Amino acid sequence: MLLIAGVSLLGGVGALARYLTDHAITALLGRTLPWGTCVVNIVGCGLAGVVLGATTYQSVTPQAATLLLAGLLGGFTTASTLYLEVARLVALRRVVAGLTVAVGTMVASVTTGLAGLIIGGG
Amino acid sequence: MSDTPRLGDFDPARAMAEVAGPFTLDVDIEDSPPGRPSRPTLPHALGVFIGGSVGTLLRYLVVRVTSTQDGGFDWTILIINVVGSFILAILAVSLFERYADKVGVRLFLATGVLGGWTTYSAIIAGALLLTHLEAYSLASLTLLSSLALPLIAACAGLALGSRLSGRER
Repeated sequence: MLLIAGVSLLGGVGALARYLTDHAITALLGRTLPWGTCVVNIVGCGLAGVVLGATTYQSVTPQAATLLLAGLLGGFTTASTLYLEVARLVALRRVVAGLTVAVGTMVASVTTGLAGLIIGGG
Repeated sequence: MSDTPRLGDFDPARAMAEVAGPFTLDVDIEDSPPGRPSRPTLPHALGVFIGGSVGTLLRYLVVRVTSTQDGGFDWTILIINVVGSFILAILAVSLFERYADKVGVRLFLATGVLGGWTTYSAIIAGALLLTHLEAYSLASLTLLSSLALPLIAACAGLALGSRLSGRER
C-alpha cells in the first residue's frame, strides 16, 4: 500500500519535473519541433538505464527500483505528448520532421538507456 | 523535356509527402499547440503534480494487476500508451482548442494525467531487459510496435477529434 502511494507521489514529482523542463527548453528552442518532450524522454531513459543497471547488480532494492522506474521516471517520461506532436507534424504534412522526431527520440533513448545500464552496473 | 525529373530537383521532404499522400491526415489543424506559452504558476504546477500522481497511480495499478513476470512481450505498457495517445489526440483538437484559455485544465489532463499514465522509459527499459535476456526479436518488436501503434492511435485521435468538434472540411 505504501509502495503504491510512493509510486503515485513520485509520478507526480516526475510529471512536475517534465512540465518545468519542457517549459524551459521550449522557451529556449521554440515550438517548431517538440524539443522539450524529446529531451525529457531521452534523459529519462538514460536514468532508467542507470537504475536497471544498479538493480541487476543488487545495489538498489526491488522496491526502490519500482519507486524510481514505475513512479519517478514513469511520470517524468511520456509517450502521449510525444506521439501527439508527431501526429500533429504528420497532419501538417511535415512527415519527414515527424518521423525524424519519432525515430530519433527512440534511437537516442536506447543509446542513453544502454549508456545508463553500463554506468549503473559499474 | 522540361518536365523530366532531374536528380538535382529531388526534394526529399516533398517526395516523402507525396509517398505518404494517401496516408496523410486531412485534418484542419493549427500550426502550433493550443494555449499560449504561459509562465508556470503555483496552481498550474500543483495541477500537473496531482494529475501526474493520478495518471501514474492508474498505470501502476493496471501494470500490477496484469503483471505476469514471464519476461515476454509487454502488452500492458503498449496498450496503456496506445490508449493514452488516442485520448490525448482527441482532446487536443476538441476540448483543448475550444477552451484554449483554460490552460490549467489542459495542463492537468494532458501534461498531468495522460503524461503520467503513458510512459516512455518503461518501453526502453523493457527492450533493454529483453536484449539482456538475448530475446533480440522481441526487443525489436517492442521498439517497433511502441513507435508505430501509439503514433497510429494519435493520428486516428486527431481525425476523430476534429470530426467531433465539427472542423471537418
